[in-house]
Amino acid sequence: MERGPSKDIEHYKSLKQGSEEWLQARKDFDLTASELGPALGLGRFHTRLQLYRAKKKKASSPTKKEGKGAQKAFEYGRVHEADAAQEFQ
Amino acid sequence: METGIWPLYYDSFSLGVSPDRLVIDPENEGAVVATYEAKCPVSGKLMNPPHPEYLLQVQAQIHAAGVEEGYLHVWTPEKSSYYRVTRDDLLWATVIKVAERFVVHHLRRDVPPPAAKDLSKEDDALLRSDIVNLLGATTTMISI
Repeated sequence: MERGPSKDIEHYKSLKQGSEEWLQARKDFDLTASELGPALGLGRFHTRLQLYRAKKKKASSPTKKEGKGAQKAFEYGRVHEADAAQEFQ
Repeated sequence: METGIWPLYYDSFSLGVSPDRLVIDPENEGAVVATYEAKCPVSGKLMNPPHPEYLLQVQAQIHAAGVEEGYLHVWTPEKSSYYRVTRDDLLWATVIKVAERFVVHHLRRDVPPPAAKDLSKEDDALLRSDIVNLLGATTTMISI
């Protein structure tokens, strides 16, 4: 069965990464690219079982925040991603 | 160029892909020619080769953006490693097959996957091994 987009594709492409709207829109998908590793059993930090539990937990409690370690890593990446991109250019 | 989510829709599941940047060709009406992903490890340690999780992410970006290559930049305050990742459709078909099983057989049916120590006994074990080998073959370290 073909599953069509729930929103306009151009809308998704226009979202600012890190924004609340982008964070919410990620939930429209079964998986995100950053979850592919754990989903395949090839995660660096998380197993398939951990991903499964995290996604089930989020589904039953959508406002649940990530753990402190994951939040710290996400925040560090967010802050320095612009430095990295500038260096690459 | 900054961007948002590039969706990929398959028969039985969907994938949301957010490249950190898109590389465009200004001489070709701003056409997207590659994707760019930065990883900034909190540990400050570079790893060579990059972890398969990162390479899977770049392959997803390449397929979502419909380009032939993507760049992976592992950044630390002291130094960086750069990798060029090339599109591999055979690899991607295998990735989608295993990802689909996770979504359909586990998430949708509320069946927890086996613990990590039992992964080698699964049908997917050989596919996972193929995926890791193919990922390595698509990746080249470059200097910039």
